[in-house]
Amino acid sequence: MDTQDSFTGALDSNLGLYDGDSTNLEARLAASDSMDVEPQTPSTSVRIHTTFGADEAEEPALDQEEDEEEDMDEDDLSLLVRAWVNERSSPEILEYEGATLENLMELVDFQTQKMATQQATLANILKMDVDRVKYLVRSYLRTRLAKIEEHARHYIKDTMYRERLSQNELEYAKGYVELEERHVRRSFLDQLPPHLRGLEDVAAEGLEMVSKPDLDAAVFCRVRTTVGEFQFEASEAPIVMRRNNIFITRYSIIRNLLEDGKVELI
Amino acid sequence: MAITTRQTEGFTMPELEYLAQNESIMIVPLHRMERIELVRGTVGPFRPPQKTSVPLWLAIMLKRTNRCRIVAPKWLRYEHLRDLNKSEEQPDAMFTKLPTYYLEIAHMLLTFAEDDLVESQGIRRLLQDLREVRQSKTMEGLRMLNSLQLQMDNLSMAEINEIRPLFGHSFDMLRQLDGLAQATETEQQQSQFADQSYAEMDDAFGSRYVH
Repeated sequence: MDTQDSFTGALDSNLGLYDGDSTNLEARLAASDSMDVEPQTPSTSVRIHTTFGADEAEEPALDQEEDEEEDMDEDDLSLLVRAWVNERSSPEILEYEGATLENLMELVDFQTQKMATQQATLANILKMDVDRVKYLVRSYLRTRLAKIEEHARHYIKDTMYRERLSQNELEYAKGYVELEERHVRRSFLDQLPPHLRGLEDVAAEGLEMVSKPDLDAAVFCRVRTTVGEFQFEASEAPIVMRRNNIFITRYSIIRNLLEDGKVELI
Repeated sequence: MAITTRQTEGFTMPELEYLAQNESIMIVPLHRMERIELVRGTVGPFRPPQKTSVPLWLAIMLKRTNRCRIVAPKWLRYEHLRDLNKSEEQPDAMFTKLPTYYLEIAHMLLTFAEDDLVESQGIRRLLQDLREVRQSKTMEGLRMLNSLQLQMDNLSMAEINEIRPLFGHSFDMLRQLDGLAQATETEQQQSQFADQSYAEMDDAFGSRYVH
């Protein structure tokens, strides 16, 4: 029926709106796609991180002793890679990495400007590098959008989750909920008796209409910094969590450790 | 849809390769080049024949244009893989230690830099063996799965990604069954308690009639 069409149509335009206007990140990604940017003097505020690897180290990082403690001063790219993997694997939406994204986009702009002045070989390398960052940023944002769509109503109702969304994401979530509501009302809900029209009813025994992320879902996690003895469940004996140990467990059990950066999802 | 259904079930192969390409690797440059400032940091300078460490994606890029030779990492050498295979096959052995992205890195190096690996055919075969032994071990692990936690150290990213749907769903299913079992248990206890109190009442009444 045409209500269906109008729903998907409106949804598309809503998505379009998100991609185009309200996310300056996406717009900047698109803008920096063109390589003919006026060369500018490098801004000093841009941080270029320390040397990638020691020049004459005998063995590459791949062979490094893995028990060495994690470098706490991680670069923005590594931070976003980890945030992306965590986001992909966790049942609920996580904190938005706004500052990291900002820094990275600044670096992308800076590198894109630099490209224009370089000879072909070097420009190609820089372009590849920048494209890889852009790919990651896109995939990270899209992963979050997919998760927002899944439980949009819950995320905009709950204060904790609302604070985890960026301004644009919050607008997107609200738009999504509104569209969905208009669609179900028009297609059938308005024909039902008034007391059956609710969208956020709570039945007895905690049965709710608003879907929530399943916080007990199974996740794989790796320990980043040794935790020591950890109680998975009050009635069970504690298990020692050492760096690089890998566990499959319930998300809710390691949720706090993830927030503290002591474990990462994989 | 913001992402595909496949992507909600874990990572895709190209995504894993993307992650693996962020790892660093040693190369021997064949051409002189100055330092390059990348988003993540500086690489170079490239002074043949001095070895230098670069991210894998750059190594592959340089290799494809014949600008470098890739130094095979220690774990990807024939002898090392043979030893790994031996210890992996020991009965009751844990998973041997390998880089998180060993399969992806090995695959990419065998594809783009086969001429830089000594005995590449042998390496291929050993990797295949290693993978099979590890796979059967992982499946043994499924037996030990419960609804609380299972430790699986040294599994690589690709291996985890492979078992994610099966282990994830089994884990969730066990969790639901456990929940049900607990509910029935409390229910049974309650009804037992009820039966008992009826019996006591009967006793009480019975004894009164007897006397």
